[in-house]
Order: sequence, then structure tokens, then C-alpha cells
Amino acid sequence: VSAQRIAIVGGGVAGFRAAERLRELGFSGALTVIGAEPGAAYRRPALSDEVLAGTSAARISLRGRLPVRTRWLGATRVVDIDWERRALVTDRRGDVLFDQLIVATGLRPRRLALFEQPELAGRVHVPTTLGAALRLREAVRRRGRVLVVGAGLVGTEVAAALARQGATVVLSDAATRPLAGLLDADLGDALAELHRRRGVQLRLGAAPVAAARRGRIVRVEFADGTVAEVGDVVVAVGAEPAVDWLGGLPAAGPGGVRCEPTLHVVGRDDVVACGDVAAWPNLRFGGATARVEQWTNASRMARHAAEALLVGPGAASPYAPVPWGWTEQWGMRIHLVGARRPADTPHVDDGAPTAFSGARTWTDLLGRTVGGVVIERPWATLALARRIETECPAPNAASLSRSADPHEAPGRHQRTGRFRRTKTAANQHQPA
Amino acid sequence: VSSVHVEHRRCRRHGLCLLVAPDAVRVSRSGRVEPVARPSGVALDQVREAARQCPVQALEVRE
Repeated sequence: VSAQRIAIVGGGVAGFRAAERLRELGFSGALTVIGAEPGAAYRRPALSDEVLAGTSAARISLRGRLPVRTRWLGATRVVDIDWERRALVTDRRGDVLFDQLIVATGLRPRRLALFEQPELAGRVHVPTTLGAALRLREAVRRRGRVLVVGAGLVGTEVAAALARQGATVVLSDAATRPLAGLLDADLGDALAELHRRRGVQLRLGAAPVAAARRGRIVRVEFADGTVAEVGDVVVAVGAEPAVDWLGGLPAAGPGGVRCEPTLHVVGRDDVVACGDVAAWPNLRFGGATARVEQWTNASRMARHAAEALLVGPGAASPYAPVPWGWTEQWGMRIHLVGARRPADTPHVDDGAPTAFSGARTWTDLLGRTVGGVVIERPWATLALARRIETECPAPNAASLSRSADPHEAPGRHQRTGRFRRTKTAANQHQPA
Repeated sequence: VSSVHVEHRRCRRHGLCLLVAPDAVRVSRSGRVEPVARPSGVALDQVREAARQCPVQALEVRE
């Protein structure tokens, strides 16, 4: 532990957990966390759900305390890096010097030019920060009619939460189904039907093409000629890695910050990245470099990154999790486990495929279970995650050469027997 | 000595703690998450990690 100064850029769960882990591991130098939001880290996924339903800001705090002797610079943005002086240039706190750096800036939500007109100010919401979510909650309480543009995870959760609060909600997406990138067509259709039954008006297959203020109303026109007249608009059309501040770092680009399997940023021994901004090869699943936009992953990954930074690239182990994500809508829990690539083959494990009861899993070309979606069956989720852990084992240290293809790594894969396919542990453990 | 607490009103029964902390958490007959009373060693490490990852932060480890 020789570094004197470590700076963590990003005040979300990844930045917080990285700081926590550095002190746990005995790092005794100066530690600074720089976050764009004014307050402490919190459960961001609660913004599109519990917070809109009335949960107080205090109830979405994280377990654990900020470690001792940590400088937390809130409401502060890093605008550039001076690599010569090893200084982070901030917008309002001057320069922060560092010897080692943890990149944990997460995502920046996309915005739509259509909704950026001055006349719509105060009526358009991008609720990915606590402040913005609280403003949306108040606006919808006041005006009661809302259009949610984008039926991804955030959009569908926001629509459900606001409709549940009694608001009139229109949910639109250019795709023809909600969660189009995550769910197969039949499950997407079933989710759409659930929202419809609960009173959400769906405008699917239609992108907004015009928006204007008409007195107290915001009038939005869609490509199919339909119109929505609402009080407020939520823009939830995805997000991009927040990398614009990483000047002079060749590994940073539109796809995020590229990392080695250990989470060291490509080309740097003194910089690691974690959370939604970081793209890395997960050797458990064949090692394609990719990002994972999941809150639970950010927490785990931050701890791994902190450790990797302290021990250095030679001694660090590869970060090879089985990703685990969730969404809850209308009280229904959807779990997304593992990884999925286009070449993987879908299987319906048990239960009827179109009802919200089955586990949908995917196997890769080697016949290994690599991922799945489970709806309202926590025991099936558990069994699926364990099956993936067994069939796609974490790489051993020997297989960690920087360009290693885990399919060719000796030893572990051959020892892995195929899990019984027809009946999983889930069948024997139905929840009470 | 560390003790583990579950805020049952907050728990949504996602079951992630059962995956992360198999030696420290089990489910009662009524479907409630029940931590072992005073975990130590591996079980304690597991349950600390489960508390960090819990989607609704319903688990708390008091050190």
C-alpha cells in the first residue's frame, strides 16, 4: 500500500463501495471522492419506484458508513485531467491531486432535443438523480397527467409507480414492446398487457415527433399521428457512459472505459474503473468486453476494483461475476441473471412460456447455461444463478493471461458436468 | 460480536441474500428471511456482502 493519494470520481454506489473497501484493506493515504450530486450515495434504483411512491430520501440510504478520513466533495464535477501534474480539474473545488484513480462516474441519461425547448422548462423530467425524482413526484401530484417516453427499465418502473399513485400515465416507445432489449417477444407482450390492465395507456411503435406548450398543457405528437396531452413529460430513453471528463485517456470512449479482466484501465497500472461506466471482459462468459448496467454489480465491482488498484495488475484477480439484476413493476419481480449473447439459444425451463411463471434461460454454443430471466420465482432465480456458476466457472488464476480465451483454458471446463436440464432445484422449492 | 437484522417490512424477497450468503441466511417456513444469530468467519463475510448487495438494503449487520 504505497500510494499516497487515491481519488475516486463518482459519488454513486460504486464510488462509495470503493472508498469503503480501500479503508477495509488498510489504505491509509489521502482519499477523496468526487460526486456530481450534493448528498451522500443512495439506492439509485429506488428513484423510479419507491421515491415516486412517496418514500423519503432518508429511506434510500446505503448500508454502511463513509469510511474515516474520507473527503467527500459533493455537487462537484471533474471537467478534465491534467496527467502531467496528476490533477483532476473540478468545476468548483479547484484541483484534486492523485497518485491513483478510480473511475466510477456511471451513466449520463440521454436527452431528446424535442423536449429541450425553453417553453417546456419545468415540465420535462429526467428522473435519474434524487433531486429530479423529487421534482417529478411533486409535479405529477400537482398536474396528474404524465407522458413517459421510453419503455425500458426506468420508463416502465416510472410509469407503474406514477399510475399506482393515481396519475394518468401514457407510456410510449419506438419499439413495439416494453423492455424490448431484455425480454423475449412473448414476455414483453405479457408485460405490456399487465401495464394496460392496470390503466397505463401504451403508445408502442411510435416515437414522439413534435412537442409544444398549449397553455397549461404539453401537447406531444407521435409518428403515427396520435397525440398525448399531459402536464408533464418523463424522458427515459437510456443513458451513456459518463466519460467526457476523461481527456487524454485512450481507453475511454462512447462504449465506456475499457478495462483488463482485473478492472485496470487498458494501458494504465494506476487507474481502475467500476460500475456502469466500465467495460471489461468477463472471463466467465468468454471474455467479450462489455458493460453491465446493474446496481448490484456496481457494488461488487467497486470492491474488486479497489482491491485490484492496491495490489496492482500482476497480483490482481479477474473480475468474473454472474450478473444479477432486477426490476419490480406492479409488485411483480423480474430477475435478470447472467449474460446473454445473440448466438445463445433460448430454453423455456418450466412453466408456461407466456404466463409470468416460467424461467427463460439461454445456453451458449457449448451447451452451458449462461443466463436467464425469471419472473416472480425467487427460488428459480437462485437455482439458475447457481447453475450458471457451476456450468460457467470463474476463471482460475492460470487462465488469466491478458488475451486468454477461457474456452481454451485447460482444466476447469472439462470437469464441469452438465446440470440436469429437465428439472431444476427450483421445482422442488416452491415459495410458500 | 456482530449481529444481523432483517427489516421485514422492507424485504421484497428477491432472494439475493440466499445466493450471496448461503451459510448465514435461510428462509423460515412462513417465507421470511432469517439470518443466523451470531455469524462469524466465512458466514459473517457472506452476510456483510449480502447487506451491501441487497436491492432494498433490508439487511443490516451491526458490528
